[in-house]
Amino acid sequence: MTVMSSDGPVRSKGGSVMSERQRMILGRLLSYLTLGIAVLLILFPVYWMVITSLKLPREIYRVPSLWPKAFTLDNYYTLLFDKNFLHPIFNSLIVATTVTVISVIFSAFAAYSMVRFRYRFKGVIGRLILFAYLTPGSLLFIPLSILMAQLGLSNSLQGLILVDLAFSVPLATWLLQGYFRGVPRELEEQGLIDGLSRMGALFRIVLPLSAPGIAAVSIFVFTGAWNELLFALVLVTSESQRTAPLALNYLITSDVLPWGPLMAGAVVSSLPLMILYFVAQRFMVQGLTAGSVKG
Amino acid sequence: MANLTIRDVRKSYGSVPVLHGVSIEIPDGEFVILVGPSGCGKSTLLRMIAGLETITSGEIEIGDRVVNDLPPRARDIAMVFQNYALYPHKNVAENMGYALKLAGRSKEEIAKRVNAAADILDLKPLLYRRPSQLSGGQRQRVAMGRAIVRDPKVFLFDEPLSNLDAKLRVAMRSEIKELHQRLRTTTVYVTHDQIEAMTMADRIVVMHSGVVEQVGAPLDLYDRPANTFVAGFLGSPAMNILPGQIRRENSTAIFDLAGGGSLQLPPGTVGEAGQPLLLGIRPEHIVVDPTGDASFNADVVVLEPTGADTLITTRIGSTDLLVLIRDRMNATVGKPLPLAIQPGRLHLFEPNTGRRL
Ligand SMILES: Nc1ncnc2c1ncn2[C@@H]1O[C@H](COP(=O)(O)OP(=O)(O)OP(=O)(O)O)[C@@H](O)[C@H]1O
Ligand SMILES: [Mg+2]
Repeated sequence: MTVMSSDGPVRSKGGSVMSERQRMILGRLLSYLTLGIAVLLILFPVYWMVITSLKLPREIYRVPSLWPKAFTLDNYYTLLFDKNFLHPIFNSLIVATTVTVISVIFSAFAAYSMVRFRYRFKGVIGRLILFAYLTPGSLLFIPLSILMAQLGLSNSLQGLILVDLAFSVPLATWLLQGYFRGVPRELEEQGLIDGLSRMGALFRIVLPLSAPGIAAVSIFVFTGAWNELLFALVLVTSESQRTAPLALNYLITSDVLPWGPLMAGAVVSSLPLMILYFVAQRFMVQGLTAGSVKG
Repeated sequence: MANLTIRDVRKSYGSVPVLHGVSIEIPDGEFVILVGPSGCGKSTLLRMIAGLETITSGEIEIGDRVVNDLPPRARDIAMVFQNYALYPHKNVAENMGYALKLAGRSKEEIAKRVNAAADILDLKPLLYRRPSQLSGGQRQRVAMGRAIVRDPKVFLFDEPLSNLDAKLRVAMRSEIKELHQRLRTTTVYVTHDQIEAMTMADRIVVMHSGVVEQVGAPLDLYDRPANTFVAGFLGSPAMNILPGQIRRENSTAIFDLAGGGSLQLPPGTVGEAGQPLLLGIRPEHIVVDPTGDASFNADVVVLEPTGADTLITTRIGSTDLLVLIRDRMNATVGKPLPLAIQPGRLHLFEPNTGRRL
C-alpha cells in the first residue's frame, strides 16, 4: 500500500469500481460466512441432540420442531434412575482413563527410543507399529476375543482395556514420534551436560516441550477408547461391565427408538469428552520450542 | 580447571571410521582451537569429550581421570552449541542457573553466581526474558553465560559464532578471548573459520579427514606448516602451491614450473636441485619489484582491489600465482608484472606425501 493510496479506485473485471477498503470488507464477510456455515454444519447435530433430549415423547414423534413447546427433564430421569446410566459412564471413565494413561506412558518411551537411539531392526519395528495401527479392528475382533477368553479376561473391564491398548499404543507411538522429532537434539544434550540423566532429559525437557503433542495424543486415545463399541459388544456380556456406548446401544429394545432417553444418553456421554477437549486445548498452543535454537 | 588428554582416540559409526587415532595433550588453562574443513570430525571429537558420543577406542582424561565411561553430567564440563540450545520454557536466569539447580545448590548461591555471570556478559537487563524474546547475539551470550556460571573444568565450544553476523562475530571473538584471559579455564573450541583460529587460540589443532595434521601456536603453523594441507588451509588467501623443480644457475636458484615457465627464487634458497618438489609461497610474500635482480615476470590475469589491498591473479606458463599487495596497484590486465619473492618465506614440500622438506 505504499505505491497506491489505500482508497484509490481499483477497477475489477466486471467494470464496477470498488475501493480497496470495500474489497477488504467483502473479503472479511465472505470468510465469516464460510466459517459460519462450517460451524452450523458441526453444531446443528449437537443442538438437535440437546433439544431432543429435552422434549416430551409426543413432541419428539410429531413434526420435528426447532424449539420445544415444553421443556422436560423426564428423559434424563429415566436414563439416570431407571436405566442407571451413571454406572456405564463410570465404567467408560475407568476404561478410557486407564487406556490413555498407559498408552501415553508406554508410547512416550517407545517413541523416544525410536527417535533418539540407534539399534538393530529399528526400521522394521517402526513399520510393524504402523502396520498394527493400520489394521482394521473388524479384522481382529474374533482373534482378540478368543485371546481374551483364553486369558480369562472376557467380560471384564481389564480385558477391554487390554484390547483398546492394542490399538491405541501404536497410534500414540506414531504420533508422539513426530512431536519428539521436533524437539532439537541439542536441547536434550544440553540437559545431559547440565546434570540430567537420559530419563531426566526425557521427563524434564522432551515431554514438557512436547506438551501439545501429549495433549493431542491423549485426546485421540481417550476419544477412541470412550467411543469404542465393537469390542465392548463382543467382549462384554454382563450388564455391570457395560461401557457408555454399549449401554446406549442397549437402550434400544424394540423397533420404536426411545429417542428421548437415547439423546439424553448421548448428551451425558459427550460431557466428559467436552470437558477433556476444553482442558487439553490450553496445552495445544503451538511453538513451545520457539527461540531455543537458531535456525 | 584441569588438563585434558586425548590419547589415540578413534571413532567409527558402524563400520565407517570417522576419527583415526587422535592424540592431543592440553595443559590446564590452555585455549585450544580445532579447525578443519567440514566433515573432518571436529564436532565428533568435541562431543566425545563431552560424553555425548561413545568412544570407540582410546582414552580421554579430564584432570587425570579417565572419563570414557562417565556420562556427560559427571564430567564437569560446559558446552556451548552452535545453535545455543537454550531451554525455551525457561527464562534467561533459569537457563543459566539450571545446572546449579540440578546440582542441588542453594537458591542464594545460584542467584549470586547467575548475577555475577550476567554482570560479566551484560545480561542483567535480560535475566527475566524468554529465549524467544532475545536477538541472536543475546542468545549467544546467554549460552556463554550458562557455561561460565558452572565454573567447569573444561569449556567446550562448537562453532559458537557461526550464526552471528560478521560484525558481531568480531566483537564476540575478542570478548571470548578476554573472558578466557580472566577465567583461565581449559577450553576446546571448534571452528572452521581460520581467522577465529588464528586470533583466539593459544594452540591450533588442524584436522583433516579424521586425523590431526598439525598442532602448534597459530604463528608457528603459519610460518612452518607441516604439510601442504596445513599450508593451504591456514592463511587467506591460500598459499600458492606450485609443482616443479629447482635448477641452479651460477649462484641463483631458478624454479622451473611443471606447467611451463619459471621463476627466480631469492638468494639463500636451499633445496635439492633436479628433484620434483612443491613450492609453497603465500600471496602476501610476493612483492612487485620492477628493478631487483631476483625478479621474474608474470602476466596479470585478474585484478581485485579491496580498498586496503589488491589481490592479483597472475599466470606463468599455465600456472596461476596469487599475489596480495598491501596497497593500491595500477597493473594492467594482460601485461607482464615484475615480481619477487621475499627471502626466507619459501616453503618446500615433498610432492607425494605433501610433507614439509
Ligand atoms: N550420527 C552419525 N552417523 C554416521 N556418520 C556420522 C554421524 N555423525 C557424523 N558423522 C560423520 O562423521 C564425520 C565427521 O562429522 P563431524 O560432525 O564431526 O564434522 P565436523 O568436522 O564437525 O564438520 P562441520 O564443520 O561441518 O561441523 C562426517 O563425515 C559425518 O558424515
Ligand atoms: Mg561440526
